[in-house]
Amino acid sequence: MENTQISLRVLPCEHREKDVSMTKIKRETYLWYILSGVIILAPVVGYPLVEFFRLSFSKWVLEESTAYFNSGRNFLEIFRDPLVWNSLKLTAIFTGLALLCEHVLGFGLALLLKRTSLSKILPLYAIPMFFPPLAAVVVWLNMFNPQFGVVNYLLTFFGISPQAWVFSFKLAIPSLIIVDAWQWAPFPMLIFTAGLTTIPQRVYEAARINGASSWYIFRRITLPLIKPFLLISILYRLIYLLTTFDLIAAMTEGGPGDATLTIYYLIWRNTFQFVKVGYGASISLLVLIATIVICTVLINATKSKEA
Amino acid sequence: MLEKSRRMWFLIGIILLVMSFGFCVSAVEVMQPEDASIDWQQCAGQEINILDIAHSTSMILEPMIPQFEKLTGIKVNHLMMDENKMRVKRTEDLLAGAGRYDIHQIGLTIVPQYYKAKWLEDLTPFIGDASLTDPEFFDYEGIGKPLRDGQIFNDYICAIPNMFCGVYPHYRTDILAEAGMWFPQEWEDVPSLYMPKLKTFMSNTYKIPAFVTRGKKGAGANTAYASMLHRDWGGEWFDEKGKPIFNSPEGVAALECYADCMDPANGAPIGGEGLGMYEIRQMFYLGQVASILTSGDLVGMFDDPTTSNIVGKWDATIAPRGPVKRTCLLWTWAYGMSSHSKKKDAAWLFIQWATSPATMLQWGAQVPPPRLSLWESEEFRKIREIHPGWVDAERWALLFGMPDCQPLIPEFPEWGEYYGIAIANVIAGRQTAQEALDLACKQVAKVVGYSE
Repeated sequence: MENTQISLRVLPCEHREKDVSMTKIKRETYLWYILSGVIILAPVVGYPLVEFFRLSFSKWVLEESTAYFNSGRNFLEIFRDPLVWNSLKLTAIFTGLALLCEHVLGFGLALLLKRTSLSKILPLYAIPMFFPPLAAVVVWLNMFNPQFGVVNYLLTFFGISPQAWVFSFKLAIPSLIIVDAWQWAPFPMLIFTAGLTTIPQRVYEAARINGASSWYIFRRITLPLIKPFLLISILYRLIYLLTTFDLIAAMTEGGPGDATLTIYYLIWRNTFQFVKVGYGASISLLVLIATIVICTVLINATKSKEA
Repeated sequence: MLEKSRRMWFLIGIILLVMSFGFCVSAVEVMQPEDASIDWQQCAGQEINILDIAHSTSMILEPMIPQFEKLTGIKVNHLMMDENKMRVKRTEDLLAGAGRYDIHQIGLTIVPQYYKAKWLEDLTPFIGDASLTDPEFFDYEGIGKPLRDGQIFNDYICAIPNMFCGVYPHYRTDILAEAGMWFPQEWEDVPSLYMPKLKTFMSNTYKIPAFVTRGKKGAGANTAYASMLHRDWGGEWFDEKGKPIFNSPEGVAALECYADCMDPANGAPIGGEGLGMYEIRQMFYLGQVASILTSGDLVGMFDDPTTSNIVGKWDATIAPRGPVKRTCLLWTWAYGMSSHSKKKDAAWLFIQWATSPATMLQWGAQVPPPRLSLWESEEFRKIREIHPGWVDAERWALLFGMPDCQPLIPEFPEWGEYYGIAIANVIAGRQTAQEALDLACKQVAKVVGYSE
């Protein structure tokens, strides 16, 4: 817009009129483009979204397979339901720790690959990411088996007694995090590897000539320069982790007890197990809003720091 | 005189042999599908989808499906998955009203909820339709009455039983014989006497847990087996006003005993709170546990030399009794037709064929058929010689088993979830039985709409 005004100032009068009419035509064209997009998206995205809002303000009556408006009572129930709060706590623990593990591991691997000749076999490190989630779960469930799992077998070499891993209250969430980090650490690794290649070598050389230590270089050069890549990776993985369902459904089914009953599993349980469709939709709506808020805050925080 | 007597006894012997042979043959004589008075080809060219559970019956049935396809010209897509995943898929399909699956495997406890939601087609008209059903071939009445009744709700036939099983202890005959022990007949003796003694005996030899039962939470998972003990102690689920009362002293004592059976200190494996049906049976057939509480439909699995390490080295016994009575959970799986199905006639032809005496006879002795007449087959008799305790236990379950051990209410999934979490919490030592059951009762009261 600013550029257009500058150009208008320098143009002669007759040219200026011509340019204004051109802008009008362009605007109309843009509007048509947007409208066609809206027409296509409305039934595909709009209708399910409207239906989702309708359901979240309704109570599902099993006998009639119909939803009736209940004046937002679902939301009141959510705030009174201790299970929702417990699930939110579990989701925060799982998401936070998994995100941390994935990124620390991913970043470590990326640095290792950059500094060694191991980068030649880079694609091999990404293999776990291409594992079908259910296949990964089957493999890990056998590895975690308290009786004949290889993990407990390896622990015996270190004099550690066998653990129940995914079958126990205490280790269920850590077990899920291990599987998640194993499968998804390659994702930040690939992003960071790409990020590290964009940093010019001369920057490092200049820093070294000026006597900077490795830690200083990492803190003051590497980390700030790969921040945009870190943000992309964190955002993508955060959204995925907040909505994790397949791993939990296949590995623990929310158990033992309610040890891994994260918010998405709670939504599924209410919707499909208890057939409380309206209540499930209400929790989903709140989770959707929370996810948007978290992501917006994260993006803005990074932007303001950059500014 | 002696000669005459000998001849007479010989003749009597021959007659008895012929009679018994005749009995055997007549007992297993069933009408074949080709002889049925219906047109099997009436739905030829159609395609039906079946959502099934990966249990012994469906695994045996799957290789037989081409017979049905050849007989009827109907293409069958048979999808099997583990119990919990099948339940999820089933609810998703029925809730959406998509009719993606024409036939669903229906468990006993879900019938009230599905009846209420009108998700299942009433099968009465199909059974009565002479163009679709040959009564002599299908022989609906030949299916055990308690099993049939379990699938009928308000005179509405929701599903046709294709499998049943009782729940009772299975044990390693070789280990118990070596230890000079037998499985106790009182539940209270299991964690206090049997398990510690067996654990001590195996500490230098087998080094495997003495006993395990289901700890993994879920409606129909740990709740199924814990509910047996609940009944054994004389516990009830609700009072006459609908108030949940399973936190009664009887309920608490039963759950304490159940949790003691899952205590590693007594000889149970670690992580019992997360062990479910599949983990337990896998442990048993791999020889990783000396005894388990499980359903009686696993003969084929335990005696399969390709997967099992305990072929011919196991047996079962009638479920122990509690302080008040002896209860055995009687479970039924059945084929129900989705009310959203668009190929109902084809679906019915499959249900009729799959649950007919002719098809069930082909199962051999791998699974106890829900038709008592088929128990007289020669193959089934052979099983008695190897696993006499299992046959007795299964027969006892069929005669005296309790289909409504767990509360058969539309809110069963919620009840099961909350009660299941309580059981797992007590097994893990996170709560006392009283605390866990008080909380579960409070949650269930809210679900069933009970208030003081």
